[in-house]
Amino acid sequence: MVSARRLFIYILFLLSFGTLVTIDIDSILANEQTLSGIIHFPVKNAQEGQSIYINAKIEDPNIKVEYMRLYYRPKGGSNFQYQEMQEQLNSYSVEIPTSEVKMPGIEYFIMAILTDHSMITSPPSNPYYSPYEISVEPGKTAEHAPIRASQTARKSFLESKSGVQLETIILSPEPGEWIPSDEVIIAVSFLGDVENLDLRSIKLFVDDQNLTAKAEITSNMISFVPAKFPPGKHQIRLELSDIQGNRFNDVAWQFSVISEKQNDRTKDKKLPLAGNAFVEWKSEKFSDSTLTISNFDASFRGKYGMIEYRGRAFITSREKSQFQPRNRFSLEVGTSWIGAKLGDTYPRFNELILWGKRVRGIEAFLKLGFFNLEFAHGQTQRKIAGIPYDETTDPATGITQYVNPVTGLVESSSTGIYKYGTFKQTLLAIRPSFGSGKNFQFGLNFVKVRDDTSFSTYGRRPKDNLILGPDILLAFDNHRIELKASSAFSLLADDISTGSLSKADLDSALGEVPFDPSQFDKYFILNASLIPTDPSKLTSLAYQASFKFNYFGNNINIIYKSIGSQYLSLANAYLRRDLKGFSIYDRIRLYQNRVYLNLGYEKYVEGLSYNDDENDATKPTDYNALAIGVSFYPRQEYLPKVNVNWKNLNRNDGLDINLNPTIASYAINYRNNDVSVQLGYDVQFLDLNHTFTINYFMNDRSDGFNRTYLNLANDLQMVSLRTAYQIPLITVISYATNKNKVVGGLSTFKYNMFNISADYSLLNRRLNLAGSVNTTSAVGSSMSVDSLNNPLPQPTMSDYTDYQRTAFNIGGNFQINSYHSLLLEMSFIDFNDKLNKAYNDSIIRFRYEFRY
Amino acid sequence: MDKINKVKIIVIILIVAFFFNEGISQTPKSEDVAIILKTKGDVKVKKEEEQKWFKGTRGIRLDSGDIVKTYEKSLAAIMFTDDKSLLKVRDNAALAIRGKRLKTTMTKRIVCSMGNFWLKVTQQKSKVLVETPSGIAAVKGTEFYGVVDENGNTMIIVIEGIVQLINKLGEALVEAGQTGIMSKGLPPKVFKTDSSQKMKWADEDKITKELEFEFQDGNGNKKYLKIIYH
Repeated sequence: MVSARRLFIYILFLLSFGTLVTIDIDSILANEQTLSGIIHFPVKNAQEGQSIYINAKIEDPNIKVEYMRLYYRPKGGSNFQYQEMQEQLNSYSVEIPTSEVKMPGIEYFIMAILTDHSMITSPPSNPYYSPYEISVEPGKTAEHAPIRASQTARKSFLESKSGVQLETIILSPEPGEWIPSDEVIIAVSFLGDVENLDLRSIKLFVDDQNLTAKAEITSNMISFVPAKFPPGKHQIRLELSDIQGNRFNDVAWQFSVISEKQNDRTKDKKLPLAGNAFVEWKSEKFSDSTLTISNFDASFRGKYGMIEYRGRAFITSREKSQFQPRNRFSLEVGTSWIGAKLGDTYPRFNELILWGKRVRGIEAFLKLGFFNLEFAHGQTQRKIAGIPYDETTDPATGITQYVNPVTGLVESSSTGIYKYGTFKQTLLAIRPSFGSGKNFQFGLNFVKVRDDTSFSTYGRRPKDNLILGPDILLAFDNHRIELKASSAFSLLADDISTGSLSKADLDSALGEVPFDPSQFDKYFILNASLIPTDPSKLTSLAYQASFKFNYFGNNINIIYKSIGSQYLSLANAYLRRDLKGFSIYDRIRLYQNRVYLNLGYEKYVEGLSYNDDENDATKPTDYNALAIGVSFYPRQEYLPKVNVNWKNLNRNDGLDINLNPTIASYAINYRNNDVSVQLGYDVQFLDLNHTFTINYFMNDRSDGFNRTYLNLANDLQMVSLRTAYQIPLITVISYATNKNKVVGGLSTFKYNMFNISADYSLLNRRLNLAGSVNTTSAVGSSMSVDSLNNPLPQPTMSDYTDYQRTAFNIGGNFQINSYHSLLLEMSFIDFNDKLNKAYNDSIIRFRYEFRY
Repeated sequence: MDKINKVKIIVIILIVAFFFNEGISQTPKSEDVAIILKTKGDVKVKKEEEQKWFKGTRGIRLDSGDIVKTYEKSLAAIMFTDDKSLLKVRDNAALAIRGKRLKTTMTKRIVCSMGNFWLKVTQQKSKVLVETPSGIAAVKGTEFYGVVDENGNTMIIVIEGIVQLINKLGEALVEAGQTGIMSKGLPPKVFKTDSSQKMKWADEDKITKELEFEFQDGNGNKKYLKIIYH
């Protein structure tokens, strides 16, 4: 629920230091969400194969965050996976890796755990069911690729405005190829309507130098044999037009020339070791505070016969004993059928039980096909000592007083603990399975997680957790048809600080039992904190089944799941519980994959346990959502790319506030509509390549009982123009405007943003310089309300923020040679709020990387 | 038929024959069928319509009918311009390149009278024919070595794909891991490639090149895909 008091003050910045390189503004910023205390601009668009940068900050800088995580899943997927967000002084960021960015899109939300163990999310309400959605469009083809792309398709299909179709084939050198200087030959052949190709229009540029006069050009091909090429990376670009003067898209690609010395080295076919290492230093000065971070990362990989090996070490100055580990170490050795990994590993055995949780220890596998074994053991949480209050006795009253160890002030406390610590937690997981998984696999999962209470840490409620469950997979035709099912049963001892029950205690509770719980301590601690208390009711049972069908242009995904209210796996602690339902999703490819139709329907019941809680004020909530999206990616240059999405979701717990007004503050009944439209257009104008993008997003939430203070409305419009020039320069200009209404319009927030960025390459593209200027202005207003969020009899509208933010970013990346590179980025931010405080922020980042 | 009509008929026939002949001789020769990417040692090229041999170097374009000859300790790497099929010719070899350009593809013929060669045909839309004195090898999407000796006997060692051997006395399919032999006066034979026959000389001159892609898996672990090729 939203109250007027929780309305936001500051708006997150669009560009931080991490975005100094040229960006497509349409890939960031839709509308800001600050209702929960996390300030974040949702990302709306992305491109397949390119990572997505996610940034967020906490509204109140005084709030201490334990950690912040990004949870994401493919659109239509079942469970979320997460990544830790990297902390800067007042912001957190992470990148969704390129391998995860696939069509049709990604759903995500952000969750922060505060030091007081409370949780805040973005979106602020129901993030699991209403996560943010990113539409992912196909990766760029050779015709659309930026000139700086190091990889270009060897074959390009070009079409001019007059319909002349040409196929170009890069014969030599291959895009991205490394080649000795004395073997360089540049050759591109032409096929198709070559008779309509204007040979006089053909121009060959190598590192922006026009070498057309030295090339041999016929209607079949162009070739050029240079005398010598200097070592390093080189850029080739070919311009062509048809006989009517209409230009085709340029053909551009890069390759590298190796020196004789490097050539002799690479002739040795065995490369036992390869990898890279970097050192990085960042400093951010925010108002009166400065945060400096240093990172070191080194990784290697290699192969010796059948054995492959890789390792990584990441060391950061942010590593502190009072936080969970931030350093990362791993060493992995193995073949395709046997292997082991030491250090930080992220085992994925079963979506319900163990799915990507970090374990510092060992993970091993044996894959024989008919029988397989997976094993993981290690620490999931390190021991962190808590901090108790200092105790003194009031001399006047003789009463014990608690003194804050940080401030020295006397405070009240019911526990005497200022900050709770964490127990060392270890995990043991075993999964034997039968079948290779190509067509069939049956697995049994066993996971045990326990807190170590042997050392006092001032921790709360140490736990012991046991989860068992099978899973089965049937797959056909390279997994184009796939049926999966899994179930899991959990037992949790929620507080093992008192140890296990004695036989006498157990007998008195249940009658004579044939075993002594204390004798099985090392396997599981059984005591009164057991959840569930009555396992036979199956409240800690979870099961899930999914069906995938990928044929005839359809990619259908049907999931059914039921997660008991008391199911808990500490190895997958953020799995949503107490719900049951299904989802159906289909992505339909039409017209040679130029048109995509995305259809989705979800129906869940959450809070099933409310049926048995004998409380009339709580009921399970029905959730259903329908989503329809259409995407059009034409091959023809002169047609725009279009993406239209609509989603309608309803949540209703069936409670009627008209019958019982006392439940008005928490009864759930609302409908949410999201509409988004994106248009992208590649156009040539003044002999330059432009990409023009328009985005419109509308979100409207209305309460079913007309509790207007729960209503939200948001409108965002954004335009951007990206231009690639004849010289190695790319510019992006964008403008966005957003209007946000909360509390039924009693509070509004409007902002306007303008951004211009430029990216320029020098020295045969070894040096890339980037700079940008961004200005944001925003006004927030709210109406005075009473405790029930109703306008006062004589309401007044007042501004709570009126600010202007200006950011200057500049930086560069220098490729010294094929092994060494340097990066330097700087940001200067001026923030001025007429109603609150002003501050300046500066960030500088330096990085050196070595690849071998 | 009187004399004048006979003369008319002869003249008409001559005129038709002239134009027919002109038409044939003016059938445009396909140009830029292939290009020499690399040479080592002594490599010579002769244009079909010329008698003179000239030095073959990288960048020289080959039209249909051009002949490439390699001498002692020499090598030539030739790429076809429609689909990047790659031909390597070893020392003491002689072969002619023939091709006919179509709109988006090319029919290709390699006429080898003698020598060792290696051919890799990629994503072709049409067949490649290799003619030797003892028969024809029809190639489709494949990689193989060919050896033609001074007697015209042909040995084809297939690395990948299928090669169809054809001569007047029969046909045979040679698959990966097999060797096919054609001799004059005998039908083609196929047998499993003996380890002593396996060739790798096409890789000897190669530079180990690599394309490397960096990405991250869902756990944030950096992963690398390296394609090492020659």
